[in-house]
Amino acid sequence: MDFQLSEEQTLIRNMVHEFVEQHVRPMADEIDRNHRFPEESIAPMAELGLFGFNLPEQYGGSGIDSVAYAVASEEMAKVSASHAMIMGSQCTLTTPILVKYASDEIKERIIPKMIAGEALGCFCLTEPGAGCDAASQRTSAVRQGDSYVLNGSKMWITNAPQSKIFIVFAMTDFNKGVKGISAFLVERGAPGAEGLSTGHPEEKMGMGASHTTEVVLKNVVVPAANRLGAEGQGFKIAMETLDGGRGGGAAMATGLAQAALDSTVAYTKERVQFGRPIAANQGVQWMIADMATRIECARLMTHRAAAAKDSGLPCTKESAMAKLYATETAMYVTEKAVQLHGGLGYTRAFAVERLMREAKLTEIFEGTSEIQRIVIAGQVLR
Amino acid sequence: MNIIACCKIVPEDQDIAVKPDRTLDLSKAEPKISQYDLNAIEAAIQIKEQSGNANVVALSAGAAKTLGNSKIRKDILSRGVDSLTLVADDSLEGRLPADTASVLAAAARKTGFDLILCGEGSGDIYAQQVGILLGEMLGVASINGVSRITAGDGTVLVERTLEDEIETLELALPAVVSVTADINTPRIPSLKTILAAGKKPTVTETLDGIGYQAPAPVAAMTSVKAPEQSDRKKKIIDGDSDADIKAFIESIRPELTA
Repeated sequence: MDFQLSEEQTLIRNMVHEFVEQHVRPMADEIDRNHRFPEESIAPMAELGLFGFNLPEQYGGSGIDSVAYAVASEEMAKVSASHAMIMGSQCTLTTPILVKYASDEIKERIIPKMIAGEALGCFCLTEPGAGCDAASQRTSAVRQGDSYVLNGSKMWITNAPQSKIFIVFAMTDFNKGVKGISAFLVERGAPGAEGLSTGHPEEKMGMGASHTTEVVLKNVVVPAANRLGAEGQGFKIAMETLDGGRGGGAAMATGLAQAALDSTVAYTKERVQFGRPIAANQGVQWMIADMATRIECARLMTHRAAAAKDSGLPCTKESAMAKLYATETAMYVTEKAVQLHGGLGYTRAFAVERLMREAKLTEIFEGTSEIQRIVIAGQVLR
Repeated sequence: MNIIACCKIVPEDQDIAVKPDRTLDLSKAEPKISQYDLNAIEAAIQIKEQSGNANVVALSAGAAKTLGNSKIRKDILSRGVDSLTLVADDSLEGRLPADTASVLAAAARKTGFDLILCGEGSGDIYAQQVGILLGEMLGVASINGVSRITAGDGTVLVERTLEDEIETLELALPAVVSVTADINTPRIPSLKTILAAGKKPTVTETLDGIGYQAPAPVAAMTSVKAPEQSDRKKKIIDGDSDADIKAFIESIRPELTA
């Protein structure tokens, strides 16, 4: 059993590290404070191939594995979780659905644009009344000849204001419960999609640079060819996509936690109180040991879930466990990091303040910790 | 045009520790491409993009145990060069500029070249001599401090940013050009170039294979030590009268004139 990253995975980590240090770190605090979407990052991210993970080479993707994606997401989140979110929404929540379920015509037309960063995509599942309970969809899709007419509204949709590609889940048959949900591709700007609109970005506690908005669908007409998978297959598509997305969330949380630990190690070695660095106190050392141990565990679980996914093995339980553990670790570690930075930790002088706000979201998005526990228990008890 | 971009593999400077006897502990320092040599590689790639028909070989000489690291080889190849030539021999570890230049000269003679590009200095010893020495040993034009290169027909037009003027020179090829750190911003390898790196050719040469003959030594390295640290004197002059300022000047004068 080999716990080392491959040479390519290591070089990919170094590549993302170079990119975030050069390009993202100078703006990380500013975009968070101003809730500004980093438009200028999209082209360079695309150029480096960061929207092409796990995608077939025939469409311009790299075909590279999920472990490499986890490594990249972790490295990105160390500096800007918002950037990791933007990458994750594209790489784990939207393009994989098109690759698996769209027609060849759609794939050839859209996927290269998404990999090139010319079209961002968003995953539209959650509704005002259907959060964790994704099966309570109210958005409807009514078949009319060769088209479907979509009506309803979606909430908490990441990347929506910047997106051209919307993967929308809607009920084609309200009598069938989850088996009545179907998935559709809606292209902003396409004929019939005039009724699609996105709202103002939510004022979130953290990750302000990754915009999250409402998506409203008012008599949006999509060709039947834009249905992804069969009628009634939508819930399955959503759940398997979230299985993949959870690994990305876990990696992002691991990166946040690592950044908080790195800052804490540096600070506690430098900060002198009572005549010695505070890191010389055993109480501080034990906190740092716990932080480091949890991060190590989170990373191993994240890579293991990603490796299972790459091997085609079942990974629902592993992804949910990694997401649960890594995100709760991120909250635990960032909270301790703020504590160990003292008064300065509560100010914007250090990134730990931002990291703690960002960490909180990871426990909520793509299935809250409680939902992860339900998924895990369901797998363990069956 | 055949371009050679020279690059040295150096220890990651952030991970070099100083031992109590002021010698350096390199055990935790991973090998990396010398930062300044990334400028040379990038300059070579840009010339290739401009001219459209250049072939870029990255050339590195060093200890076999360092250059044997296939991750570092892929790192070099992911930067856009067409191939990599290594002269790997453990006797080349920690050598001085004249030795390095003589090895590179022998390798360049064997490979053939129109233009050799070097960084402004190495990331570890930063003597800034290899480029100049290399040109001298090969008997071709050699110039350093170059902040812009435009490829011509059998020539290159180079700019050197001097203190109060920009010098523009036309060099007949073959030539050796050392570029400054601000000539370009080296591009970051992409997922694609990283994945393609393993498929690009690498040639590993021996010293015998390039017909290397060690020149008579001109200098020898006796020791490498971190500078001696002294505690701060923490002398504070509180006030802004003429007498205070004079006292301040008198305090720093010995340091400035030492």
